[in-house]
Amino acid sequence: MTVVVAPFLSFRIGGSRAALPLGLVREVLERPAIVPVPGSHPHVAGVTLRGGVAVPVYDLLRFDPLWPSPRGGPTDEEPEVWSHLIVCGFGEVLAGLLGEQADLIGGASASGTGGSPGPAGMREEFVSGLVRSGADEVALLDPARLFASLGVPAEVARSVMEGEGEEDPAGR
Amino acid sequence: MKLLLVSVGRRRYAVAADAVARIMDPKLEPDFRREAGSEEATHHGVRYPVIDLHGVVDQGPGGPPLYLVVETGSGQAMVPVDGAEAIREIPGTAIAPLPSFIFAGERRLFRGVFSDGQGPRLLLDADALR
Repeated sequence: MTVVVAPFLSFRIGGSRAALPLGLVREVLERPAIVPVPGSHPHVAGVTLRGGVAVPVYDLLRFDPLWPSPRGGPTDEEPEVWSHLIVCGFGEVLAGLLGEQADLIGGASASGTGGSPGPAGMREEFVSGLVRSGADEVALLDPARLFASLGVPAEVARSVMEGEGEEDPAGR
Repeated sequence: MKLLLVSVGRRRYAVAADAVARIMDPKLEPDFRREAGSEEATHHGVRYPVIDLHGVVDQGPGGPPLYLVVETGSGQAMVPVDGAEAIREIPGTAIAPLPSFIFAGERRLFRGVFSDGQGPRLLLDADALR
């Protein structure tokens, strides 16, 4: 079955191309400063500051459940494989995804994954449909499944995270 | 609040200045003892836990030249650093709390992030160091 979907933002993750509904995307940034956070999940590349808020940044290449086989994401010593940060609003939380070649695609037709074991190279459970963009097959990511699996809680009120900082963030 | 800005390898961190009891140069402290890689050090017969961020950030220690003696919620701990850069006044409102859901475990050594003009810098949680 084919359905018409709203415009979305596509981006490359390694050798795959993915897309998210444009309505979910708050902004796209070119190489913002990201600081790694020791002790965070392996797929957390770090945090970046946006409007006084610490926005978690996710590297989907390091998120093994997304891929049919472990990819062994890049290490700190390898060249960066991203050029853009796609900042998304998931519920009341902001979360950033690393990607390359971010691009807008207008209203397009999406089809089911057809039971493909690895639509656009990704696990089917994270893909809600497929669209064509030129010669590329683009996986339309299921935001709810993806962000929940990344550990992003939709229930957290952003007012908490966007508060005027902590009274004493050092805990003194 | 006053923050002490430190470097550990290529990374730059901050810790509340009023939580730092001393900045110690081990070469000038003959009573200081720490086995390579040990999570404990002794100084004047007192044992201190060592929180080595070199290990946490997976960088070779390379003989940290300085140790911060940090007041924690339950005593003191030592934090080896490669350099103490400056003390800077940063408004509490400029420090964004880190989202708790990014951490893999219960222990969270960092709790905030702020911009130091060059980029985001993490703030150590002194209470979590022991």
